[in-house]
Amino acid sequence: MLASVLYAVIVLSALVLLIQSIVSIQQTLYIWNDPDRMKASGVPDTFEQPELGFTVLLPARHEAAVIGETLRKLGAAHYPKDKVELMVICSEDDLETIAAAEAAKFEHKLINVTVLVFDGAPGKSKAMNLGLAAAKHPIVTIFDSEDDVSQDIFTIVNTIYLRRNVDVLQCGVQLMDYNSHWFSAHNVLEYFFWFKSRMHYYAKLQAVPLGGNTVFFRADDLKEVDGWDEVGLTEDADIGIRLSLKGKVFDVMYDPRHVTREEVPHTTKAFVKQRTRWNQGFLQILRKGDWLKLPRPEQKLLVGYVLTAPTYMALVIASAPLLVLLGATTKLPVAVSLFTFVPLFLAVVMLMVSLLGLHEFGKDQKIKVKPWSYAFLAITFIPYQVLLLVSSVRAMIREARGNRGWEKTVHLGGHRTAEHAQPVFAPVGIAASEVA
Amino acid sequence: MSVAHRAKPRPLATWLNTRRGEVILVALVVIAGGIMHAWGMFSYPYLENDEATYVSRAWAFVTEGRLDVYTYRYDHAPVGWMAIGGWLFLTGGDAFFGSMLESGRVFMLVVHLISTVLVYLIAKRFSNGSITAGVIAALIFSASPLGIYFQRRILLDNLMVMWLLLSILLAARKRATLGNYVASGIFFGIAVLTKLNAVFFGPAFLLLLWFGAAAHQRKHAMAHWLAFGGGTVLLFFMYALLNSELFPAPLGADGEPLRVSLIDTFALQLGRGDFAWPWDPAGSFLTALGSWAVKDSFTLALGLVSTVAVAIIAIVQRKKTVYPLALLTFILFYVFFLARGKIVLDLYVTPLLPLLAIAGGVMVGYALKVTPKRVEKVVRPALAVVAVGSLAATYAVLVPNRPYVIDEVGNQNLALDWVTDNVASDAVIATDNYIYPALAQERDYDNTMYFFSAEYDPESQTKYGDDWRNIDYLVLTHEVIAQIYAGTVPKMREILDHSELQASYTEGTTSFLDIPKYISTNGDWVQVYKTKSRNDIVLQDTWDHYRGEFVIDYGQVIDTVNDNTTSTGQADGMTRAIEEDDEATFRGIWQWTQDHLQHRSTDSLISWLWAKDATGTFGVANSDTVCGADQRIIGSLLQAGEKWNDPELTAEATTMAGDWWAACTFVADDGKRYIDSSADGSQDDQLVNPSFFDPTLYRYFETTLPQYPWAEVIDGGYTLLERLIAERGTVPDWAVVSETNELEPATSLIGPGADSLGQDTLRLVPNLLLEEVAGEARSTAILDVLEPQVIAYADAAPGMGASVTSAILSQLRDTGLDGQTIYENDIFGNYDAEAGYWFDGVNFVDQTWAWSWHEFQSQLPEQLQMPLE
Repeated sequence: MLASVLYAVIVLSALVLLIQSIVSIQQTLYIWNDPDRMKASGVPDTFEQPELGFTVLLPARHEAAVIGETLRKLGAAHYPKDKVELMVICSEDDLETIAAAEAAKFEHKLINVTVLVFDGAPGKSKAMNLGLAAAKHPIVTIFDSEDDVSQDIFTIVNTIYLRRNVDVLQCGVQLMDYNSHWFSAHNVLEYFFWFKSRMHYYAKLQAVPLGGNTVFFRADDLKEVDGWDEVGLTEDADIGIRLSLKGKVFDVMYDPRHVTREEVPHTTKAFVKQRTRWNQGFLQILRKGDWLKLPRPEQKLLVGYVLTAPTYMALVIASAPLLVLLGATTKLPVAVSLFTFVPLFLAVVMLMVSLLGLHEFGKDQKIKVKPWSYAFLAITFIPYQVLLLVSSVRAMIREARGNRGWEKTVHLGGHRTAEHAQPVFAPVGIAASEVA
Repeated sequence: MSVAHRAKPRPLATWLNTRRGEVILVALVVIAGGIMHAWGMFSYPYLENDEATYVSRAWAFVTEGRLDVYTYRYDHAPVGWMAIGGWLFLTGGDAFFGSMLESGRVFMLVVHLISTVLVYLIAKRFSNGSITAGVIAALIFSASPLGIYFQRRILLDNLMVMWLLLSILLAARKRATLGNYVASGIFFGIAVLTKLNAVFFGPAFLLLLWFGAAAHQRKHAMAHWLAFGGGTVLLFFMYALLNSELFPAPLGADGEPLRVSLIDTFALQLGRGDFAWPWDPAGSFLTALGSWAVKDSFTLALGLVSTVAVAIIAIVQRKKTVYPLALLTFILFYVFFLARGKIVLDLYVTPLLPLLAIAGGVMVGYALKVTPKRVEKVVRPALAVVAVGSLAATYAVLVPNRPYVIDEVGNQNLALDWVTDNVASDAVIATDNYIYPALAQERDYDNTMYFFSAEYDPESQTKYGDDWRNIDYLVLTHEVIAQIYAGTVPKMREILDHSELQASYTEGTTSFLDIPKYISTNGDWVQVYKTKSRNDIVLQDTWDHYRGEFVIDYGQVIDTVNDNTTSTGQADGMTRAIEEDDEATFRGIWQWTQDHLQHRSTDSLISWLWAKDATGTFGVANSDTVCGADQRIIGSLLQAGEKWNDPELTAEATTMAGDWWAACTFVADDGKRYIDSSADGSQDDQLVNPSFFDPTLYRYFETTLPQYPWAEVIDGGYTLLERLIAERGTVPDWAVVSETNELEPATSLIGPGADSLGQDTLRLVPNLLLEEVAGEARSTAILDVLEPQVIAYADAAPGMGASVTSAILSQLRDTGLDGQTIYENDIFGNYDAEAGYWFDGVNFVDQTWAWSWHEFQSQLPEQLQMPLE
């Protein structure tokens, strides 16, 4: 009897791992799956004349070190200045950032920069909602204060909005400093697969947990859903779901030349904090339950999967070695043992995909990835899973304790100094985070 | 909605509508192929051993969850028979199609039809969309005689080919997705797990993937194909690992491995056959090629031409398409495998056939493409008609209609019927596997064993105590004979060598058959052999030794201890030759006897001694006869005359019998007819040897030589023995019947000991025991007296003669001793079963004595024989 229960548990766990791995691989490789998909996912071949106006929301807090350079770059974008409004939004106590923004405005002769200051408690969502209320242009987008944004981004987005039926457009964001920390290559690859491939899969189902920046909205749509949720930790994913509920049309554009470049958290601790925040944010959205109102079952399934993945992946990651150990050491029926090895095999496939991803990332960004980086990626594969596991557990504990404070990620501008130079929001773990 | 997502495929109905003509054409080709393969598929070719092996394993898999009916030895990966098992399960085993083997052949038909469609699609794809190419490829594939021969059979190769083609098609799809590549990898893995030699196609796939996939997909396609193909194959090794059967097995004290091992099996299989260069005429490759050419020169010649054409197309079109090059690589890698210098079985050609067919299609497809555009409307259809027409004509001329008219299975079915009608269901049967599913799985003959497993599988060996003598029957076929010939199944050879033909079904066979030399050339015949009794096996083996050791020249039986040849020795040799049905040796011995010892001027009897004289020259050393030997020679000649239907032998026996009657018997004063010891011409005192008295032989003469009153001889013999007992209390080796009919001592003629019970008296005992068994009271009375004396004698003068005599006495009478123990200790205990002799095999007398124990058993009624283990 006990043996049967054990077998059942093992087979069931292996089955969950198996399904998870297959789903994850499928999403990770979505863009490569079809020979034509890649081309269709990128930048149009020709561009429309500038027509649409953009309000760029730059919520900033203690970003004096980087806000000036961000404004300079955005100001130099290849798009008429009168059609782009750059809005830095700070709380009144953040004098350094306010001063840095004003200085940049003066120094770079930026006529289209507005600095919006608000009182009371600071908060990104609050800042963005204020920005939305004050926005001059019909298209609203968000960048983070440390972002390196493509100078052609407005031209491209203008063209896409004019040619396609689209309400919300998520453009590519990419972490660049793949060899700055022991975990950075994995983190970089999560972004790579998320924006290059997975987002397209979500867009196909019109259920998109949006990223935190380089995402374009129609201002009216945002107002229709009352802007961003000021309570949640992942307002970006949340608003994606609420816009889906309103039937807004989502699209995704990824082109390696035009991604928004960002940096990897500068310490392991910062990474864990960031990831904890996202995971906890997902738990909040999950609890909020809006996603259950999505019209199509596959949308519910997908969003439910994305929101819960970090949490149950903790269990999965913890049980995977246990399963293999059981399979190898316990005298199980051979068929059961064999079955426990299938998820392990798929994990190897995931590692292989990561290695290939690193290669492609290098090719996309014209970075020569050194052989040892591949070896290092393979070696740190399991430790990185442990990091994800810690973050998941931490998020669960914090959420259970009602500890919902914002653990901010510090930005140093590391992505701008390296050979590569640049992309923000860290979505849920991609390939590496969901490996069994 | 993102433009990154493709529109949904057109519904099936629309698709069918736009391709109605093509679908109908392909359906016609498939139906034609189906008819060619189905017509006569239960009769041709014969049911091959491997087919039944897979079917029996398939059935064991679905009914018992086992990978083999015996211990699974990793000889093949199991996915092939898992698939067959699935089919059998769905179609209810033997319920639907008569037998499981027939059901298996129906499955192969289905597999062939699927493969035909795949061949069509691949040829079309490889020739850039030419329907003609596809149709021609599918036709060649279906019509190939080699194809019909092997694809009708339930072979793993056929299933492997199907998976392989599926894998190729997916990898070569237009706008292939990563999912297609993953599926291609998995199907390739399944192909490998169906038949491991599919792995030789791997490199060709890499080429196809690298150059065939879209640029940005390429690395993912390769990596995923390799990972999923490799991962699927890895399951097999994991299975072995989890069963602790991956690594080489430790050896037991007897040097045999303690368990099965995948690595051991692989090593064994990789080492199969000696290396030979592919151009070596005696090598496996050219031999197989010759065999294929006999069956089907059409496909081979066409395949060769097509391959050369594809090579040219690959070069010319190298910048436009990778498919001709990929196809060429598929063909060449497999040909390299065939020509690798190791063993090539006939059926190894199977995976090559679809590739050659596709090459044929591609060749024609490209030939049509190079036709100038302005004439294409007229020329293309004309060329297509010419191409198809000439292929059809060549086919009609070159290919015989054997597959549709020949019945190769009939004999096999008759043999199966014979076994079920005549053999008990608990009999231990070693067989070609063709009969296994029907006997063991359909009819509960639980002790039926595949002959190879019987030879090597420890589990099977328990069924017969690992002693081939306990296997009751051998169902002999082409495959069994071939393995015996190859020396791989020595136990089966022993069984065949020690068995008797029970049923033979060879009518209409096209095989050249020479069973004694283990030669057969086709499998359309079956024989059933019954293993001899252990006693008969000893008789046979010791005869082999005897003949080799003691029969020299063309028939001289020589006692190598003293180099003497006696008429008794010649008589022994003739008796044993008849017993073993060895006509050649019998005739040799008899001829030699006639040539050297039958020279007496007075009669046709045999001089008793051929030996060296003082100068060392061999010659007749004594022209006297030994009547005991003469009578046996007469008996042997009569038996031989009957057995081999030779009246001349009977006539010679009759002549000798006349002389024997005249010279070897005499009538004493009491009116009794006694047997003289020798036709030496003595008229006064008659020396007699009581042991010459052989009433069983005389009773045989009563029917074969009725012109003489044999009852007189029998009566005289008993009278003599009774008189000896009455006067002397025993039967001595020798006695003299005086002119006045007194029994006198023979010491003066023979020497000391002649008047006592001795070795000669012992020879009388079996004769008397046989009489007693037959109910002769006089014999019993004499034995009652002799029995304790013989036992005492054996105790005092031990030796093989004493042991044999006391053993048979104790076997049939209550002597206070155990006949079986005496046999086991003194006779069997000194026997070398492998060599077929007792002691060192050199002592002529001992060999003859020990043989006589077994000979005696064979003369007893079955219920009285001593059971041997």
